Amino acid sequence: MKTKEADGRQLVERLRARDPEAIDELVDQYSKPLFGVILNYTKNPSDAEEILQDTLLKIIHKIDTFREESDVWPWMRRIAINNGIMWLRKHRTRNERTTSLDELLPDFSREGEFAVPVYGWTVDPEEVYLNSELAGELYEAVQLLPFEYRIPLVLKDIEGYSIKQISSLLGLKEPTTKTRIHRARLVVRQKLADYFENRGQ
Amino acid sequence: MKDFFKCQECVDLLTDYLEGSLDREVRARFEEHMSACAPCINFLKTFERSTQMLQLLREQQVEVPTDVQQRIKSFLRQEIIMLSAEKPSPRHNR
Repeated sequence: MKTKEADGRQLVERLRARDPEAIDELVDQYSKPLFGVILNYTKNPSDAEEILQDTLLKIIHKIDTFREESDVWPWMRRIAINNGIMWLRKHRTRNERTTSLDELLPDFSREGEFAVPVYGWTVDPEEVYLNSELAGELYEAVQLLPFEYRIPLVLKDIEGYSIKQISSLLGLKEPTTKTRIHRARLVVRQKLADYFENRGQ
Repeated sequence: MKDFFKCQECVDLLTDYLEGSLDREVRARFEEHMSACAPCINFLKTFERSTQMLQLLREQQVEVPTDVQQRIKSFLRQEIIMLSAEKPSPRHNR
């Protein structure tokens, strides 16, 4: 996010001074991008709102541990990610709908060949950034994934974490993490392929 | 004589291939199949593209409903006041 780091540092100072007025600035300036990060982990609005509140609370509590030499936004983003994952692991049975992954994975013949034709499609990078419909499709594809597949995928392909980091964060063995990311990517590819085929490309 | 890889085996290896973690022999067999299989080439390209496109979700910003913002603000204000009473910041003792 392009936030003026100087403003971010001033905000940190005010939060360290326990200035109640700094709360407005914190929420006004950071709730939108933080909510964007959190909504990659859960689609459920009430869960996302609780995680947002909890994240902002953690930011206030941890403000004295923020190191001056780092930037504020990546630090906040990390808190949102860690907090979101922990929160969802604790509460997920409450709202999660389980989807069977199998029907979203590619189909093969007994000989191991594709059961249906595979078409190519290309997207102009420009279009990707301008096309909110496409972003919506991607978002829906990610949200379709069961929790245990969605989180590793988001951490890898959206947040850019390594397989090693994800495994340690989620307490998984590396091959398990990699398999889940792989299967999740297959589902995302399939959903986009459906989208482009319906669009007639 | 080694078997020629099937499409299904290649699809299973795509993430390892993109991560660069296939050993030399497996990679050679993977590429051998890829060089001769149009559906697999399409699949690999679209797999790679859709994976890269996920970056699009990285910078998303989503408006928080005003009533939720207000609720969060008043909750956090209470919290910071309590925090200031029980545990003043080490650098800002007043």
